[in-house]
Amino acid sequence: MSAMLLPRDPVWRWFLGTLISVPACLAVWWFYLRDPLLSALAWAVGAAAPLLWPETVLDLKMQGGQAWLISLVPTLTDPPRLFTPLPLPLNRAVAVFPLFWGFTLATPGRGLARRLLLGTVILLPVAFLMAVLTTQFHFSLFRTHVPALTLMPPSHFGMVLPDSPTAFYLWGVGRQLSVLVLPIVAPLLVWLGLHGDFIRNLLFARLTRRSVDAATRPAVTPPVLVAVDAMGQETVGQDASPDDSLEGSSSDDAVKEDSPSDSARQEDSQGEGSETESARQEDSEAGTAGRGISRSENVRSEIPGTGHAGEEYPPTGQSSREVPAP
Amino acid sequence: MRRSPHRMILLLCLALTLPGLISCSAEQSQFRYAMNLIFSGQVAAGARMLKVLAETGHAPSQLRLALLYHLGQGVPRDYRKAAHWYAQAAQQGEVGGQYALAAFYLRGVMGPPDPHRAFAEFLKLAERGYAPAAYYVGIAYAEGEGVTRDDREAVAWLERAAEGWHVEAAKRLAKAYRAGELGLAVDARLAEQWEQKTQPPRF
Repeated sequence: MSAMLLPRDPVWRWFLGTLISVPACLAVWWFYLRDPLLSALAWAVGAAAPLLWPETVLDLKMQGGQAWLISLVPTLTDPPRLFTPLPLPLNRAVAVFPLFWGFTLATPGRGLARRLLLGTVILLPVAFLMAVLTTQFHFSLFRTHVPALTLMPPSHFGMVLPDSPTAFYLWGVGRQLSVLVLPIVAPLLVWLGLHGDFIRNLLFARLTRRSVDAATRPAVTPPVLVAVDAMGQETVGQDASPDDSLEGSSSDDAVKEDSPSDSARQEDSQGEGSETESARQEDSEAGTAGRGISRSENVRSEIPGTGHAGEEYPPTGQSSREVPAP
Repeated sequence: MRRSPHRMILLLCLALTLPGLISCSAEQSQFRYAMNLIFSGQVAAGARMLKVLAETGHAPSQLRLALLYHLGQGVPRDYRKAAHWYAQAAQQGEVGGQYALAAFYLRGVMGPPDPHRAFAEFLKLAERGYAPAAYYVGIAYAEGEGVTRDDREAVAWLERAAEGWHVEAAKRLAKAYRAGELGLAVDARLAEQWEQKTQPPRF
């Protein structure tokens, strides 16, 4: 029953899987993994703070599911304060992980754990970069004390000179990159990089095959299959296709046609000739080979034992040859 | 020979972090350690470390030590010592040092108020683009405190401070436009514009 509900097209199957797995991964991330990931990221950025902002940022701390930047810049209050805590929205920096996991879980293929692990490892520096860019912008906002994008500076000035307009604009671009672009683009790019075969085989092969088929189909003239019986009388088959005549006539080939690796190809031909395809499948299921012949009722009626054609065809006393159509 | 991608990633990470490791000097490390001590509640130990660093001429340590003397945290409150270390930090261009020293002169923390020295300190800082200092310069010009009264200069400095999102400066300008002060003609539209500066922008 469930197999009937699933779409046969692998692309649609992947799309449906993504629709299910991405929200599921986001839910798991939101309820269980967000805080640990944020803590780890805050720890990493805090560890890098002495290198990146040696005299201005003390640390990044987590409190109540919120990351806080502990600034070393004193605040211009009365009395002045030695430390300034600034709230940091870092959720999007760790949202890249569930998006990537969702895409990957929906993608068929071997080595799922390896792909998940590798992609997560690749995304770690991306998340770190996003956190650094966000931190840098919020610190710049605190220093410059001018509203930017959709953000307001803290109410009090810091005891520090503002950034130049160019620097402030550039940090704003960095913030937009880390908040709007990277959270979507980074997991997609990593997923594309790790599933190149899937993309090529399914999407591009499908598109290119369709265009090639459309270009070549009218030029192909189906050969006419002629069965010659023992008396020398010829019977002409009407609808033998060139593929059919070229492919092997053993029962192994018939089984091979139905193998999953050729499923995409079957999908392609479904749109154009579903009747032909269904007949072909019926034949192969019945164990017949030489499908062009078996589909021709004239020939079928003349050849004894067509149910085991792979073994009996051509039968003793009969010969077959393909005569191209004039 | 084919290199593994993991090794390449590791080398790349090392190459990226190496300049940062080199740029973090010993003074900076000690300063951060002292500030960590203060943040974790060991203020006296942090103050002792800052004093050692301040005496070597480390400007950020001088400013924080001055703040500790000013606030009386980890050390006994001592405005003279605070002013000394503020001045030391200000000489090296620390914004906090310059601003706090000017405020000390203005309030007369170390003796009688000295608006002229306060104005001179605020002006130096305002010229560097610090909006709170620009506001005080504007107010000084408007009220003739420490400098000859000059409405044109007052408006110019207040506008500069308000552009730097100093709310008090924007309020003062709005009041001046509404009441026709500082040599300005009454202009309700401009008054409203400056008042909007005091509100958070609507995104």
